[in-house]
Amino acid sequence: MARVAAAPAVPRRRQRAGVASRVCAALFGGYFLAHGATAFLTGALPFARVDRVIAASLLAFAVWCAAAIYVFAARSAWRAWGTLLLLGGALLAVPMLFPGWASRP
Amino acid sequence: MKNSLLQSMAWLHTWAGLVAGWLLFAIFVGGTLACFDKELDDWMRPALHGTQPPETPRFDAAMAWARERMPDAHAWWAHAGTARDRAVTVHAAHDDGTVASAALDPNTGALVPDTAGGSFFFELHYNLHAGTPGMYVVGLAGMLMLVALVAGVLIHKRIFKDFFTFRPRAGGQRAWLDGHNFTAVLALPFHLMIAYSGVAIFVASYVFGGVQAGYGGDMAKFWEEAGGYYEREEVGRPLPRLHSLDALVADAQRRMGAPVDWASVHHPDDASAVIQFGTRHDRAVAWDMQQVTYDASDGRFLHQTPPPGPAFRTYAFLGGLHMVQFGGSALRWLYFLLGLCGCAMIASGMQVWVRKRAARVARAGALSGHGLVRALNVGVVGGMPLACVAMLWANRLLPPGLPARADAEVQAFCAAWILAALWGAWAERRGHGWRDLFATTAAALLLLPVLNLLTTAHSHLPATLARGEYALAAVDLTALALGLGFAALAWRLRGRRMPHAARAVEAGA
Repeated sequence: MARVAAAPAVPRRRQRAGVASRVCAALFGGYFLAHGATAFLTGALPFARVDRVIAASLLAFAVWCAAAIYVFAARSAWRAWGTLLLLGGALLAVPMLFPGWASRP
Repeated sequence: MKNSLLQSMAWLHTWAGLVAGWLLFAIFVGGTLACFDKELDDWMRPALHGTQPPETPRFDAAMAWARERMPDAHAWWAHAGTARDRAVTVHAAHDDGTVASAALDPNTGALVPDTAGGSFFFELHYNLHAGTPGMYVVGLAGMLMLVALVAGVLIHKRIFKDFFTFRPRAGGQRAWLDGHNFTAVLALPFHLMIAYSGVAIFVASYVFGGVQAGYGGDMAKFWEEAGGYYEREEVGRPLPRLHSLDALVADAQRRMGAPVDWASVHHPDDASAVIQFGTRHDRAVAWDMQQVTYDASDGRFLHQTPPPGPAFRTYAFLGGLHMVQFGGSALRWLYFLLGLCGCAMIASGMQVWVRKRAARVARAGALSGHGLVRALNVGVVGGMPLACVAMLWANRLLPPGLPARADAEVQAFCAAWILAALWGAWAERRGHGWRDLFATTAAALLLLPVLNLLTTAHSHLPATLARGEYALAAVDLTALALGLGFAALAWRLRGRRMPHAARAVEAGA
């Protein structure tokens, strides 16, 4: 952390806002991506419906965890938010546009 | 935010770990003790020591108690007395969530003195005794642990070499960091497995995308397909008479091909009431979730759950892997030791945070963020073990006939923790909070077998060893072993009045 304190380019208040934004992105953006991925996989996995739902739901935690790691590795908080919301929205859109696909038996 | 991936992961590991640390420590201590929740339940009911539960479980006395206590309950359910936990435990619950519970002698059906038991630690582990909100808090802590573990692996360039590095005499931050790395890396597969399977158990409460997309959000329909469970709508007419459950046990065991472990009666005041039986989870890694259902008025067989599908078996496997009801006591001991590793990993990680900032902590004083972290470390990590022992003491010291005896045990646990935390935080200002709490915990643990000898007629170490009830004896012996461990910790901390950095600051000031 000492090295970060030595870098004066970013004002302290902006740095704190960035951290808060990332924390929210990891929590809410990450959950949104996990939610979208679960809905998408419920359509995409090649199993019976009940097995698709359970398998997709069990994988949600891995997606959320990976999303949280990504948020803190991303170049900026804005980029992290954008990626999570776009990717999560796209994944969620597919089963919403084709409801029969995800709920086939 | 940070210059490199390594730095941002180090930041994430530090802060995710610190924020969730105290909570995770309490969850880990609860979970480690809950490896032996049934054995602790049994230890805490001396009235049943020396007895044998019947070969075929009996439930009628338990249901009679439930009828007297809560005739209009949503459901009554009871667990059979087993070799691990001899009491029959019975519960009755209203729709609004109020629950009444009791423990009965498995042979006579007589009430035995109430105890919070090892089940207290089990519930503390999964919902902090805070119901549904508590379950969500624990789930979030589990996710934070998962994130901290992955970030921790990413920042480890020398994960293999660090595993063989332990310099307890290096002192300060170095020794704590070595201890943190050692306990973390040694048990890493266990930590990852326990965090992931832990959050997976309550997947239906955390993740909704699948049921929404696949079933339009119809949870009941999903469960019906997933578990194949049977339900009957209420009809609004009273049940003429409840069929004997004991008369159905043999048939249920035959149909399931497994011993009956629990029985339930759903909406017992309605003519649609059903009796259900389920089995234990000790014969395979995956939970055995099968159930058989009978009509509660005439005992007619109604339904048996079909074998679960592959995904539900996977879920049951993850749950079973977490709850370790398979594999017998040897595997439970392994989980217990790995759980202790987890407790040590969390505690030492938080000490690294404090020691790394030792100078700043000392400069900032007790009434600051740094001082708060230091006080919480002592209060939670040093205080909770003492609170757990205090509960075992309360179990032996409270009079058997005390009303709401289980609640009194829990109050002893809470009071001991609060007092220990205050004492520890106060004494740590002079640098001996850890030593004081560890020494007291050691004394309480080492004296527990003595207390047991003085307060019980046939539950003390000589009696249990003579009867060959080794699970009961193991509680006393484990208390002795842990007591020696805490004594060694307190001994190591003797004479260390104040952290070095604090002394340096004071000398400079």
